[in-house]
Amino acid sequence: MAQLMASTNPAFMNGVPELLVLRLLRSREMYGYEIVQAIREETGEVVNLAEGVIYPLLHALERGGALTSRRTAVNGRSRIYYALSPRGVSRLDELTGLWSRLTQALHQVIKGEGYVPGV
Amino acid sequence: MTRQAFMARLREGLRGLPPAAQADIVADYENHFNEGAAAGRSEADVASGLGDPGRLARELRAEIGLKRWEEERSPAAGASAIFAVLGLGAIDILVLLPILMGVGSAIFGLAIADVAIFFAGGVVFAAGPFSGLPGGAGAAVLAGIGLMAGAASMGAVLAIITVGLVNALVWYGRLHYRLLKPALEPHVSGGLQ
Repeated sequence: MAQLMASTNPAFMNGVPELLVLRLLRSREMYGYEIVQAIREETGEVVNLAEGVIYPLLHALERGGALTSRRTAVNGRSRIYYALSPRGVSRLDELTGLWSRLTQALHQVIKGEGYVPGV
Repeated sequence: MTRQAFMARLREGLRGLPPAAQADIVADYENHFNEGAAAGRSEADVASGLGDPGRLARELRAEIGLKRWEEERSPAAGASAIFAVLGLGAIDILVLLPILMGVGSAIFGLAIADVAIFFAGGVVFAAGPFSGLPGGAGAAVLAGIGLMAGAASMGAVLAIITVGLVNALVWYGRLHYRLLKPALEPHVSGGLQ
């Protein structure tokens, strides 16, 4: 069983990269490599994504209409900059609301107190 | 690992995918190495940050197969989703293989039987009225329609069960991604215990 658990990621981490990427892109447009570094720095290295994760995620978000992209050349390197679309903004609002409720409730439960919703 | 070795193993692992999909993926990781180099990192450092290229290729392939299933519910897409999950090569998925094959054969057998019943119904419907069966022509026509309707509804139920099983497998397969989902454990530095 321990082995089974070790071979899978905690399920509650599934939505975290999406939330972080959308939030970072709300401030300004960024390219893939920059996003990975920004996630590491802004979470104080608590969230340290496997660097390869970011590309399939960006493509999926773009296909889903949450991001727009533009390709540009910088110092001979080809960069794809991603920006948040209006649909991405509402997805971000939805995810942050969900995340806040969840963490508040879990925090109360972990402390041994009950969570009272609707305040 | 050098950049060249990493990219060679990634390309190797992506073989068989549509050329456009391969080119997109390769370009992403080539750019990643370029940016890393521009930021002063060594090739080995960038490569280790990206993780095992063989594993990365397997998961990228699997994701393409699973996405196709989510976009189009066809038998071919279902087969590609099943192969995508098996292609991950995780031990506890391979343990499932005999069960999967058993369930798959049972569904296949039922589907064949279902088609046979449908055709039998068609024969009774078309030929029954002229073969002097007891109950007369009307009974034969009704029996034929009944058999065909029964077979059609059984086919619908089988399709729903099959779609549900493939969905479950897709969900289970995704749990096994290490590189496409945040692999937190090996990278945690202090913050989480």
